[in-house]
Amino acid sequence: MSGDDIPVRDGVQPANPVSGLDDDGLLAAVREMLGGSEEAPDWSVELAKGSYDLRAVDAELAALSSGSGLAPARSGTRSDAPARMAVFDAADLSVEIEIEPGERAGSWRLVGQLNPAAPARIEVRQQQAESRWVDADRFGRFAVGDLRSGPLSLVFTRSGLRDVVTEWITIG
Amino acid sequence: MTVVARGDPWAGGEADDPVPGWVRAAAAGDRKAWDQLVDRYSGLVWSICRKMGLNTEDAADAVQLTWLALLQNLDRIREPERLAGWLATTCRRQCLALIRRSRPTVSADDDLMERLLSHGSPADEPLLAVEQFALLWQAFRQLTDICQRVLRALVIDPEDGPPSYQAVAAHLQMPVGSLGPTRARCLSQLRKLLDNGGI
Repeated sequence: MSGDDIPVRDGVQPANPVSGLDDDGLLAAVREMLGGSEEAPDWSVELAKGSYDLRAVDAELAALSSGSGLAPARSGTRSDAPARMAVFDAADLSVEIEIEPGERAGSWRLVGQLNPAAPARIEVRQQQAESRWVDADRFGRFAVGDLRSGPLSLVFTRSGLRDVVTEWITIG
Repeated sequence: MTVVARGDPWAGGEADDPVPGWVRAAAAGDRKAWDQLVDRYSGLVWSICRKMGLNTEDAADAVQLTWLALLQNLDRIREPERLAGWLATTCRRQCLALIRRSRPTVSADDDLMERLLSHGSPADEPLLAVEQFALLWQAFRQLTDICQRVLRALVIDPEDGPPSYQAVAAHLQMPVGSLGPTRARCLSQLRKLLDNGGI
């Protein structure tokens, strides 16, 4: 983890590159590790703990299959911010979403399409916010506005089928 | 040093890793176990995001995405004893996604992206560094209390250069003659912990 010039114990095939360092090299690695260690701010720790309420037990996970860079950089202005797309895939459902700047400054609007097209009840989840609910129409289309920047995940409930939950992504 | 008694300065290393139990309990609905996981690894996840060169705002997002990913995958973690490595890999991926979105003209191809990032700021670290950082971070915390204190004292760089054995021995209130052997023993303990938890 430090430079390449750290001597390695002769004839030893280490289980990992750090443990293969000699004493001075290992101590240098410890110095680098301790020097690069920070405490997380309390608010970040508390936010992570509070996320336990966002478990979606029994729902099938829809993995992000494309479009991981979802929203424009914060430095971008609203007017030049292009819409970003993402696709999530579960076994029997694919969801395509697009995030675009919302009507209010700093807010976002999400439009989506279910494949195969079918009606669904959709829970829009964000940290530190009450869930919002929207419906997909019979063509599988849905839209929700006035979203805040930050992590977001959707849960889809369809008649007679297992719930599907998307991976978390960041918008904004 | 083979007898471990109450108050023994060599105690403090964890013979039994509580993390796999916490992962299982949190997956089964135990909020307290989740809190313990967050408490233990928050510093690691935060440090990795900072190490990847993210500013505070983006680091905050990447950290939360990492925890949310763990929450969604609690019952899919196959080797909970290697959770530090899993968190490091996940965190690095989230950081790369955030870096990528701020560079819309760059190809989204992951390999290309990683190659580009490995040759320039903000993530100009060797790619394995994050995972190795995590392993070392974890192994260090499994050392006995005295070994953590000794190694910390040995790597502190005061303004006038690295500390002398005399200064470190005085700081730790131990005979200077025992510092060399203690250092060797602690590093060997650390090496063993690294080999046990290696990716």
